[in-house]
Amino acid sequence: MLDVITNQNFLYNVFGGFTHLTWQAIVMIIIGGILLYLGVAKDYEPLLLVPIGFGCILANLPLTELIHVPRELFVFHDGVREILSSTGLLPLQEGVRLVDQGILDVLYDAGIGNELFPCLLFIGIGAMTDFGPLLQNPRILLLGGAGQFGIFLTLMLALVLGYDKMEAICIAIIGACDGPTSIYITSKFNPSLLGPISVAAYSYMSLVPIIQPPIMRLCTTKKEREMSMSYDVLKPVTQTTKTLFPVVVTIITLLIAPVGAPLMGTLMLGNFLRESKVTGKLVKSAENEIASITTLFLGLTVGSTMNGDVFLTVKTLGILALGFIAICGDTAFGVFGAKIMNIFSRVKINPLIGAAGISAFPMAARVVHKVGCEANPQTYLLMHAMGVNTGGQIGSVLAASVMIAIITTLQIMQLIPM
Amino acid sequence: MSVAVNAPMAGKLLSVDVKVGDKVKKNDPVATLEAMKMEIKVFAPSDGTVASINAEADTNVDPTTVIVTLD
Amino acid sequence: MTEMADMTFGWLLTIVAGGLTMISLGIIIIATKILKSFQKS
Repeated sequence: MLDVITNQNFLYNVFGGFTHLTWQAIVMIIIGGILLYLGVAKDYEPLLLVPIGFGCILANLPLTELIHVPRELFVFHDGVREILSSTGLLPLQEGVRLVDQGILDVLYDAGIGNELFPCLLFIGIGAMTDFGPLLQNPRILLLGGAGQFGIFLTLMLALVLGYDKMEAICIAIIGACDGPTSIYITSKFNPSLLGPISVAAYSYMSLVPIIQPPIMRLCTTKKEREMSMSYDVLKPVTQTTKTLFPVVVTIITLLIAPVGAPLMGTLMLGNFLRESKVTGKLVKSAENEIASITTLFLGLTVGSTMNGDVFLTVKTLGILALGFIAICGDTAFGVFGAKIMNIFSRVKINPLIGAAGISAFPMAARVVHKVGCEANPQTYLLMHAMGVNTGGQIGSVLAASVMIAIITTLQIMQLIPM
Repeated sequence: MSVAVNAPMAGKLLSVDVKVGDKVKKNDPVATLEAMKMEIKVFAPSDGTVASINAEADTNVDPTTVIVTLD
Repeated sequence: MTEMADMTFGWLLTIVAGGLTMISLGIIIIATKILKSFQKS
């Protein structure tokens, strides 16, 4: 018996957890720990960073077999594939391993691989959003579009830096400043980048109150910031208008970009549930239970794709840097968008509210209010900024939908790789 | 001349932070509102003395509501 | 067809996607104004 125990193979496998621990895994576990620390102790987006951090730790402990990344290198023992490979109809590529599904593999296939989870989250976001302030002054919707131009700035930078097209798209979409949109686009076009992209997107979103104010001050003069905006022009809209709005937006945007249906459709569905006022129970479920459950599974699975081999590369550093530029770009473009609008319109707006044209809701609007208040206590920008902020949500989903439409068209035309 | 301080936006009035007879300077906070889950201070538009308090805490206010008047 | 150059792809996406996003927002604004014009009457 003693020779069995002292056999190298036996020791190696019984204490496999220790013997299979690589330096990459250790670094990733530390990164997972940092994410947990940021979520728990610093209160940065805890609802997301905690599951992501824990998922990262789980997946990087060796031999847990909870999830297999990168997913192209594994074939799962599920019925069809197994039969096909045993009859030789599905030849295994070199380096591909046939494995059993881990529980996180199941979650991955259930909601990340097919982009379901981000869409479920959108129902909740729609149910939480009040488009009232936007409807009172619809032209500020343009600012919600201007705030998306950080996406294109980042796209160009990423391409110049040598990222390939699909990577560049996924990095650029951090500029939508919207977690579910980023995860949706990334899982569609380049799932191997899910970890770094979602970490970048969610960390910068939680840092919006720190990142935005200096940029906003840089892009405006004190005089511009001091401008107060009256609420007299804002006549309340009727419930009928609020109820019809999501339906109209759905029809218009999906006629323009049908492939955006999973994002825009679910966002507007959630909002219609809210405004129709007859589905109280569904609204509650969408914004509480469904959103919480999805957030947990989404965070856990995304965190567990943060495999050391994939994550610990120069690429990740580049993604973090470009993501930061994306959000700064959004802020600047939003502010300048507002200045341009002022040239053309009679009723002037405070350029600061342009900075709220991103989808980080409602942080961006609060930041705008605070910066405005610092410059002049008599300026109360909150509601105007809220309007722009909800416009930013429509803008980011719309920009993402249009981009998906164009990219899939180019793929069909074989001008870019699948 | 009396100055009416209206609620700057629709929301819930959390508290009125001055009493009748208080002297306030321009940009002193006079009340606290809650809108969109954020607390917002309402600041005095000019120097003056609080002449009357016209709104109660924990009620919903909108831009037509006068919170306090200043003399 | 041969693969498109990276920067061509970038510019194409910026101009077409950016433009189309703003145009769509414009259409939504017009539609909202039409919606609101009904409520006054």
